[in-house]
Amino acid sequence: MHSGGDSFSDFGQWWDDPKKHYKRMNHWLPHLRGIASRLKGSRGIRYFSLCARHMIDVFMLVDEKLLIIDANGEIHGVQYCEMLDTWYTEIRQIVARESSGFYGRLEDVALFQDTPYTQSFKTIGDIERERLKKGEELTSEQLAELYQKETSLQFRGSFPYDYINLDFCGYYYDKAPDVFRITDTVSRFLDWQRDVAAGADPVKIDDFILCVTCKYGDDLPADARTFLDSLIRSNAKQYSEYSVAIEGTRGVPTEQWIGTNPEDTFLAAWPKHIASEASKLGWQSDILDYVYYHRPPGSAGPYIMICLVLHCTRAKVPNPSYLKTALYALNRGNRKEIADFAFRSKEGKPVYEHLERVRLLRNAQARSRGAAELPRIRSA
Amino acid sequence: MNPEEKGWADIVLSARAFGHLSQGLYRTPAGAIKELISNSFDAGAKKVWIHTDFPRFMTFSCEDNGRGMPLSEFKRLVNKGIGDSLKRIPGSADGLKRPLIGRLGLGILALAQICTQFEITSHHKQSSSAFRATIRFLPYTREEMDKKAVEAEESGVPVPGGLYRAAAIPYDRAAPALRIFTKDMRPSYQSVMRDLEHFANMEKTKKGVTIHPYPSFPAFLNSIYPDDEQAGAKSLTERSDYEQLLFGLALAPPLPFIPKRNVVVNLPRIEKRQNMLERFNFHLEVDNIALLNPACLPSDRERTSAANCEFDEPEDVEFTLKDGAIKEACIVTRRRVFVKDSDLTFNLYDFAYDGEVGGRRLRFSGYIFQQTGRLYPRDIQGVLIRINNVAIGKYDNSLLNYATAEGPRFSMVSSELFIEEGFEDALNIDRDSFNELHPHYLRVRRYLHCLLSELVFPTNWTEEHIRNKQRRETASHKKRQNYSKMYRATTGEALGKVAYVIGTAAEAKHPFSQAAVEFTERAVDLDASHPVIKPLRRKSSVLPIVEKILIAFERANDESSIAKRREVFYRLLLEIFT
Repeated sequence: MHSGGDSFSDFGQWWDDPKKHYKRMNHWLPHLRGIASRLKGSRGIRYFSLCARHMIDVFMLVDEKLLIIDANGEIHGVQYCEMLDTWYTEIRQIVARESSGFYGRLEDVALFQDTPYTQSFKTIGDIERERLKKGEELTSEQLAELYQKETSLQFRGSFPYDYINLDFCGYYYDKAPDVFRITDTVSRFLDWQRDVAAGADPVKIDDFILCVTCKYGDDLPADARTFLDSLIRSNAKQYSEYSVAIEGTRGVPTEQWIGTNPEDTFLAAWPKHIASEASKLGWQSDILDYVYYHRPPGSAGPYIMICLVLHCTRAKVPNPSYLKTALYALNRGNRKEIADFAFRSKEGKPVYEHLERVRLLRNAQARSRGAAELPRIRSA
Repeated sequence: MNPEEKGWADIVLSARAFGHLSQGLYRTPAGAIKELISNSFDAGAKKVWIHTDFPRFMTFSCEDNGRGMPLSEFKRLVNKGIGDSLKRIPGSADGLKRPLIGRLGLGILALAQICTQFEITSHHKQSSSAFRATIRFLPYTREEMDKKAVEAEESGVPVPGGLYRAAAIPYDRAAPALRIFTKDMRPSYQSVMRDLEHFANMEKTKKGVTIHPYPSFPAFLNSIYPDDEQAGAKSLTERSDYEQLLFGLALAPPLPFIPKRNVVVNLPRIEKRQNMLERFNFHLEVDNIALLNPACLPSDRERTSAANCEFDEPEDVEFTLKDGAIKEACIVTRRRVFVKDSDLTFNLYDFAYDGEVGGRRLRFSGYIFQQTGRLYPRDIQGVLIRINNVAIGKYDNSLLNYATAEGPRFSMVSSELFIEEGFEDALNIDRDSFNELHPHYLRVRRYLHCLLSELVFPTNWTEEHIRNKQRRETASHKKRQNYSKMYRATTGEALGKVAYVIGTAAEAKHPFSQAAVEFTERAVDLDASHPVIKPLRRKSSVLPIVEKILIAFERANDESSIAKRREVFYRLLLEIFT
């Protein structure tokens, strides 16, 4: 999560939100268990996370023994990206493994674009040679460019993953000119998922889970809304099944539906956009879970958090159809709302107990590594 | 970022510090990082965490849980405080009774060795205040630096050594007291550290190479020292710079020994020091490995372990310290160390000195461990000087330029010398080397050299001579036994006692045609006058072989058939040389 500051007591506002943890427990974890079951112990799970310093998702996996803490306290199998240096070093301290993560803003790392200076360096070895050749003559600008390019190459080298957990706390579509920056980042992930991990034990992955969490609210940038509306229009035009489904479920023609219920159209179009990108890169995608929950009004009014869990399979044909995914997202019955509940309630108790167990596990590791511990669960 | 951007201010250095900085202050990354650790120690930190981002080395961080520093102190440091000779008053740090080991806030400048810019965040407990600052070193070339240093001295206007930007941030009790982070590594540091061709903990398969971080400090030590699994490293120079960094960082700070791997901890004075170091309650973790003093003694190719060593009663021995006109009788304690089930004996010398030198008091103590056989790795051969328990540089395997050739005995000595008082001014500003003309340094050197030349090396020579003689005799006896066995197996007869007699061969017309050996019922007589034996008899190195060959030849000649003659001779010949 790209928020927070220098305050070490600040673990973010939502780490112990009951609905958020319900989502982790009931809509993330079963799919992680599924992966582990498919791997059948042939190797450890490869997990990527924007875990933030609370690292609840990571320790949820540790609790499930899907990620292992070895005798030396190292957590194996997880990689992360963090842009705050304070959080980055703290996460690394807790993971107890050097080179376990990437320092920088995820989008910058994934979407690094060559400058005239860096374009001739294709590999980390090329960069290394440049450093050796020019040494201290390199300017700070050149060093910064080399750093960014190398981080990006290192990041690419960490692919593929079995489970990619992109828990963005903001909008999926930013304001212009960065409307598609996260989309492009996700596309880059989908592209790099096709790679084979190098090293003594190469890993090729034919199916994986992509989990994306983002925010939706009335202040979604207009450019994004326009884009998604046009995506629906074009799909409805191209696929009669889709337009028929719209009319059948909404009772109005596509054009009339668009604009009358922006939240509904967003929830229908956004997964389709991701599935479309996956298709372009040779992945057949199926929605495993599609959940949302309401958050109290922020400075820009009320908003919802949406989580999409996609199962991506290496397609046998180029550009596989994503119509099934589009129809799934269109069907309001497939979207599960996580309603308000309190930890003290009957349904909240197991969620609380699970979160508390994970918190204690996380704190035990943090304590042994000299890192800050999570405070008590607030709403308990 | 543009240096003229709002909010940036100059870091002002004294001309002295600047001059040194322009020379490049530290010889190794470990030397530079050591300064950060010293500062943390002085700030009462119980733990320091360093992360090098191995094996990428793209970031570096150092955090501690000490007292932190307020913004005002930081500003004082960067505004001419760095490098100014402001000695702080030694005292206890948070009741830990630690001496002050750092100096001049040099940790900040030390980082210039490894990065071009870094972030420093501090949460100061006493004032409940915090700040975050960015420090940027100016990319002057050496020529530019020299020019600016001269200009500064002429004009009296201080030279900016870099830029900094600092701002107060909210205090957080849970945050590390001091935190340094950088992603702006110097290309030279990065290139050197990333050269992992000689890194030991890697897995090579047909499919590729996987580099594994050391999972623990014992695992790291096991890769260096000879053990049952491997031969260890002859020298850390055979290994990667990263491994040298780990070793250097383990060696430098006031960290305890690993008791079960070092016999010197059995010396009462070292045991006391060990207890003191443990009371300091100072822990250093580098790349998730908790470091300790890496010296393991003994450390030989015979894989002798400290657990197998037994001590003799201590014995006071005397030598004369000669330093110019000064002659002082000095007493040291020697303890012989025996190794179970082995003829190896080591010596451990425990010494202390207290005197006035150059008008100031000099007090030091230490040990010399003298092994039978070379110490491995080479990096623990020689002498290591510690001031306030902090290593100054590395082990000096020239033994502070010891003048007399002692052959391989040089490589059998490992010593640590602890300065208790004095010597501070003999340190160069890098705190990693000495002013070798300083009277305290010279006195330490003379003391060490006299101790080595009068006691350590002569003892070593004598013991080595006796031991080698015994070993030769044992080996010779064993060989003779084996030869006798083979003789009996081949001929069916017992080999009699070998004796030299004056025979008749020399008087013969053709002495070379005469037999040199005569077999009697109980003895084998060798004719001392025989032209083969006579010239070789004084050549003790070849005589036993010559004897056996002659016996084999003459005994083979006694056989009736050629085939049997060959068999006897060849079998005995083979036994001689195997």
